Amino acid sequence: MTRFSRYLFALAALLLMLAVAYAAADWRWQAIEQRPQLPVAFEHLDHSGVACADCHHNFIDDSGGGACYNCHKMSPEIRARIEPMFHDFCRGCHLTTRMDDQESGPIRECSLCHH
Amino acid sequence: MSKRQTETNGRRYALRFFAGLCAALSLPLVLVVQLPRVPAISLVWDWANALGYLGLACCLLLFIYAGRPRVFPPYSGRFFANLHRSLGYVALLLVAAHVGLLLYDQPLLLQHLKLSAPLYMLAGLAALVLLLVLCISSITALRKRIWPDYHRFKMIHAALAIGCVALSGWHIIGSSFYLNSSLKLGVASISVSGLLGYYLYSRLRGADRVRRGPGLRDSAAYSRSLSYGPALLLVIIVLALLLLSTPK
Repeated sequence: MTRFSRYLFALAALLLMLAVAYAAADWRWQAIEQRPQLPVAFEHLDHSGVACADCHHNFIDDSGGGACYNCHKMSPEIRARIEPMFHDFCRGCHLTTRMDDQESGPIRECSLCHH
Repeated sequence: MSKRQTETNGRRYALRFFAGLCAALSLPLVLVVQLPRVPAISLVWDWANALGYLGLACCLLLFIYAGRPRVFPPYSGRFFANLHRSLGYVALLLVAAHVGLLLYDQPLLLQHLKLSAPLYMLAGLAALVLLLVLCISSITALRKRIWPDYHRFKMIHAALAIGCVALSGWHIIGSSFYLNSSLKLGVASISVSGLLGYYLYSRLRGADRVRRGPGLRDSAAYSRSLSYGPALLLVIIVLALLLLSTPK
C-alpha cells in the first residue's frame, strides 16, 4: 500500500467514524424522547422540612404550572435533560443531608425511588 | 553468588514489589472514599464500585509496567511482559465484576446501558468495550494476524489504552458518586495526567537504560502470582472494610 492510499484510507475511516457519530447522536436523541417515564415513589410528607419553592420553583419564577412532568417531560428544550436534572436535584439534596449526619432519602440505589 | 542466595534475593524483591503493588492499587480507593468521606450505601453497591476503582488502578499501573524491562524489580524482560498481560486480565475481570454486580443488585441500571443513557454511562460502556478489545487483540496469535508489524500494534494499543482511561475518567467524573469534591478532582486529575505524561515522555525518550541485579534467574513465573495476588488481597480488604462501614 502506497503512502497516498494509506492517507486516503485513513481519511475515509475518519469520515466514516464522523458519519456514524452523527447518526448515533440522532438515534440517541430519538431514544431519549421515546423512552418511557419510570415510576417514582415520592412522599410529600417526608419532605415537609423542605421549603416548597425549593422544588416548586414555578411558584416564584412563573416558568409554568401543574405537575413537574408537565414541563420537564413535555417541553422539548428540557426533556432531554430530565434524568440528570432530577437525579442531581434529589440525590444532591439527600447526599448533603446525609453528609451532615442526618437521615435522608435514597442517594444511589435505583430501586428505592423507582419501584 | 550461589543459586540459593540468588533465589532468596529474588523472593525478597518479589515481596517488596508485591507490597508496592498493593499500595499503588489501593491508593486511588483510599483517595476516593476519603477527602471528604463518602457515606456508605450498601455492601454490594459499594463493593461493586470499589472493584471498578481497582480495575482503573490496574489500568493505570499498566502504563508504568508497560511490558518493557524496568529497574525494579530486577527481573528479566519476560517478567514484565507477563506482568503487563496478567494485570490487563485482572483489570478486565475487575471491571466486568463491577458491571455484573451492579446489574445484579440494581437491574434498573440496564436503562443506563441503552442509547438513551447519560453520556457518562455510555463512556463507561465504551471504556469496557475498549478494554475488551485491548485484551483480545493482544493475544499473540490474533495480534500477529491483525498487525504483522509489531510497532504499529504498539502504537494502536497505546492510543486505545489512553482512550480507555480517558473514557473511564469521563464515566467517574460524570457520575460524581465518589469524586465529589474539587480536592478529589484536582488530586485525581494531576495524578492521572502526570502518569500519562510520564508514560508518553518515556516512550518518546526511547528505551530505558535498565540495570540488572546480579545473577537472578529468569523470574517470569513470579509475575502471575504478583498480579493476581494483590487483586485478591485487595478484594478481601475491601470486603472487610465495607462490612465494617455498611449502615445497619
